[in-house]
Amino acid sequence: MSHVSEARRPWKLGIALTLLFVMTATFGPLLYAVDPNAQNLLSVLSPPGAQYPLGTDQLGRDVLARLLHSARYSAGIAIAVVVFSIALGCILAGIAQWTGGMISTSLVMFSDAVYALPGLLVTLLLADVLGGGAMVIVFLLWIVAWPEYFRLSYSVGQQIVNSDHVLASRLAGASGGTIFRLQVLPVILPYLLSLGAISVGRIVLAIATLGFLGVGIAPPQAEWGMMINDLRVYWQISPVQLAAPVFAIVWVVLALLILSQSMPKAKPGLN
Amino acid sequence: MTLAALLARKALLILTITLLVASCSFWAVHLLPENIAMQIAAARFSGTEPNQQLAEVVSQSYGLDRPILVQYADWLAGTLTLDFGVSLVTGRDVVHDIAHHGQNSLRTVFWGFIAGVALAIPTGYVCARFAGSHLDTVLTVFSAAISTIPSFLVAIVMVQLFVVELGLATLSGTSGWARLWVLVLTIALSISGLLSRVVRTAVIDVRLQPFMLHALIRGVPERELFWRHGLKNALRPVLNYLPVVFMFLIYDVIVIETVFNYHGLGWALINAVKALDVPLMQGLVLALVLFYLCCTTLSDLLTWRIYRRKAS
Amino acid sequence: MKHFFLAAAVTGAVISLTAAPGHAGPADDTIRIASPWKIGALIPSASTALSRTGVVETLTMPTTDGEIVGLLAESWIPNDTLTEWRFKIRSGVLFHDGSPLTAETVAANLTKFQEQSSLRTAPVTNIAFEGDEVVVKLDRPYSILPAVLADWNTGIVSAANLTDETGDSVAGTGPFSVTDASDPTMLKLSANDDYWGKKATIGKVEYLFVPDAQARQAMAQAGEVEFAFSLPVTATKMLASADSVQVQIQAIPRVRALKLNGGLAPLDEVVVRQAISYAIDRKGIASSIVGNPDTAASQLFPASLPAWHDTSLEPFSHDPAKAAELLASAGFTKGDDGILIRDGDRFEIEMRTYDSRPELPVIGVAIQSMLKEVGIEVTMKQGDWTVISDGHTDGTLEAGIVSDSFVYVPDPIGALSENFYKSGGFWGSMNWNNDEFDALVETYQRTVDPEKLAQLRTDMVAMIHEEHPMVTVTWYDDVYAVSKNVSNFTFDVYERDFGLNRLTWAE
Repeated sequence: MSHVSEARRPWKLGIALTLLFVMTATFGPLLYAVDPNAQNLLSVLSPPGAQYPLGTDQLGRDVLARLLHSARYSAGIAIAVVVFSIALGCILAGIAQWTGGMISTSLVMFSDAVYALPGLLVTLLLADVLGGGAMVIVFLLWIVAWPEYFRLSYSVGQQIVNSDHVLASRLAGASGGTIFRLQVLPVILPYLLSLGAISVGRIVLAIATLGFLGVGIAPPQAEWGMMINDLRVYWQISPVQLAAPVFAIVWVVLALLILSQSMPKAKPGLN
Repeated sequence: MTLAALLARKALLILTITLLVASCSFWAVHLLPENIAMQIAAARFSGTEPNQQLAEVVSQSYGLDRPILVQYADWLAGTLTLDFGVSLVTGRDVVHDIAHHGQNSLRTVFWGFIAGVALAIPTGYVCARFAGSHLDTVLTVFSAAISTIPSFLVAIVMVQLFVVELGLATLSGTSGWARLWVLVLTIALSISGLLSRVVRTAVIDVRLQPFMLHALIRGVPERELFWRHGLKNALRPVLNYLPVVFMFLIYDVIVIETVFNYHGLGWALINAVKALDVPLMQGLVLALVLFYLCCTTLSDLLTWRIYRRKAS
Repeated sequence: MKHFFLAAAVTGAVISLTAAPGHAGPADDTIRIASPWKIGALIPSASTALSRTGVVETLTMPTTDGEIVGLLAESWIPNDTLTEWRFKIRSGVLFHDGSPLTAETVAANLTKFQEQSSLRTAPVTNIAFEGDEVVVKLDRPYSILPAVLADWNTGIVSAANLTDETGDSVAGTGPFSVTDASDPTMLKLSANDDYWGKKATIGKVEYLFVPDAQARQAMAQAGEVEFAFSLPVTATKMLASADSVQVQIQAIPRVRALKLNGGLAPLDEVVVRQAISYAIDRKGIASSIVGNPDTAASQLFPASLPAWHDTSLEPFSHDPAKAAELLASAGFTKGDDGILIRDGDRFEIEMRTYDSRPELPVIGVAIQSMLKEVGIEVTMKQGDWTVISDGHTDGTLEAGIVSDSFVYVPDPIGALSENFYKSGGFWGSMNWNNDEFDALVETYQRTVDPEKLAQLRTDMVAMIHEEHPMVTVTWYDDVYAVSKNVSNFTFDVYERDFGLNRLTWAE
């Protein structure tokens, strides 16, 4: 029906925008090989020009270079968090599925508890105490992100494991690993990936919020939220420099928005 | 599910989360190399030279010389009785600060929520009624965009526009409409975007239900039909969606309050984090988490109250 | 469901209406101050707000020329050996709670807060009272006691405030009294009608803690506050078009410096600290971040303190090559990543900054990059100022960007003995122990002969110049905004009193 074809077009646009973001994050810093932390105190807050395509910040650092390195930083953290979360979520869901009983119940309860926790709060509480840094941020975002994947794979998994053809495979003597690889994974993967794509966008925004609040991300790391916070004092003097990270964020937001509106819904219809 | 079972489940969840947060903050602080006795000493006797003797006195008076597991148990017991200790900066009871800032936050969050809902429901309903039209597209794109753009960006723009340029709002004080309306508007915008999309989908779904189509064909006016039968069905997904809205409210509290210099829980949290004021930090985080959980519990109760006949 | 919504709406309405809206300005006779400094515990030694807004007063005070005159003390006299000082306490002064100011209360205050105020740097053995006199005994001759007692942190509060409980209010003797301190972020004051000195003409004051520099600037721009202190230097450009407010730049005897933990290898070596000093481009920082090239420090004390500024000293210079040379002579070699290594240890330090003075974190990042160039890796940690004081106290601080006044004790020897004597202080050196310097300080404190004092000053300053117990970066311009509604404001370079009782509303 027309509803489907309508949804497909923006879906491609969303993928394109996300891919563009990942490509920029990967190759941008290579193509525009300027040190994002090199400062030039003789030309602070200078407007865009030949030497600095997007101008310089309050320490005379190249805003374009910082923009690209920030993309790499955010994308790197986001992808790491999503990969770790998928891994942990699936493993725990598998354990819960196969063992059942007390372990299963307590795992579900635990994940419900973590899921019901406003994640940013936990990150704020611990990031400063643990001293910040990329690894700490990955860890903190990870420990609040995995329950989503656990819930998804647990409920989809349950549906599959109780289905007739899995039962048939079991009777035919297939091992747990084989069943997982051949029958569970192909079904579950699209859901996980679509949830993952949305998570990447969300995590990039969470990192920007942390950077803006000045918690957990230490200078001289280039980060969009932190760039905005540093430059907003000078918005009348250097509007381009402030607008650049804002547009970068809007870009990710847009990609995320289109994706989340049009990707296959990650709701298997089970509770 | 019976009311008792629902409440018991919620109470258990709240208890688990409280213990989880309390444990996190305890171990994060106590596994650090920095000497907490010294920190407390420094704050309590602000300005004194470092002094081992003083640290020992403080250590004893705070019970920091006991085995760590005893301290942990004590900490959890304190947390459960809402005794978070004293702020390392002001020397006042943390509960006092939470009550003070909480009252401020509650004021904006309450009105922000009401305004957000008041904005979202008509928007969503109009979008659904004219689904596919240009109006629908414009409203949907606008609401989606405003809800996904980080609220600190929205807040910065609001401050520049309404406070600095137009002088229609202020950045000091914690009450009065001149102070509150921009905050309320910012919060309302950030949650109404999400909510209006849920309302839109819910209303579209209800309109496509067989009983609705059937009644329409029989000539019942749509508006009357919707108010009589459709509303209750359309409301359910909206109610189910409320926890997400509350989550956004909590994030807004932190970010928007910081930008607007509004002295609520979120503002206090950011300042406590910067000062490494651990008792205050953990008290504020728990207060925010509990507030969130109470909101979700309330919305669950509401859902239960409306739909219990179906469930039984 | 109806009941629920009704209950919620009523609760919300009640919450919203419990506090009355507040507006500033001549209309309701209220001066509002946006300050980056938190109010903290309501004790004079902990809260600068209490002294600056004129709630508490000290025994002595400096005139604008730096001469020490009496405030709560009418007069004072030392014995011949300068080991015993008698302060005659002003009579007829009342605390805000109605109790009279007595020598007994003053002695109790000084004793209680001795360890928390500048008095801890004085060799005090006993504080007592006799009649209307406070008698301070010291174990060695000490000429600068009256100056020490002018520091804001030696303010006097009434006997009822001397308990161990930190209360919700405090009673001092100043021109303004606290009317409401229940909000930990705001201090409400009103004029004290029984004040013994110049009574305030302005009725009320609200001191607001606004940690965000951008918010302070916006509040000044919108005319919401009469004063906004510690603004970014770009505020002069940003607020140029505002018609209700003026941005002022005031040079004050204050320094921004890189505080180093001198007890931590390799920062305990003089050559390493000298190398760090050579690595820093002070001119660049002063002109681009502070906005005034003249603030680039050439030595510890600025020229505005002529007695302490020694023109014969060779000025600090920016010379990365020299820095590299010194570091190499200390046994460091560059590793593959450009970071120096010695005996397998990478040269990496953690540097803490705070943003109550908005330029400090920016200077921190600038220095981080300058040190990287000579091969020192710096990680930054930003918080509020307690990360410095706590880190100093518990010994975990490695380096920090700090700023301190030379004249809290109106004689710079106070700052020197506070910050460099023995193992240092929060806003000065840390674990730098130099017996020769300590001996000079002690000699200075008991000397009265002007020529000898001048020689001692030269020697002390030269020693700090050579050894860099903390690396001086820039001197200081304070940027603040003041409303055109207010007249008679003069900035107190001693940063102890805003002088609110002298203010009047402009016609």
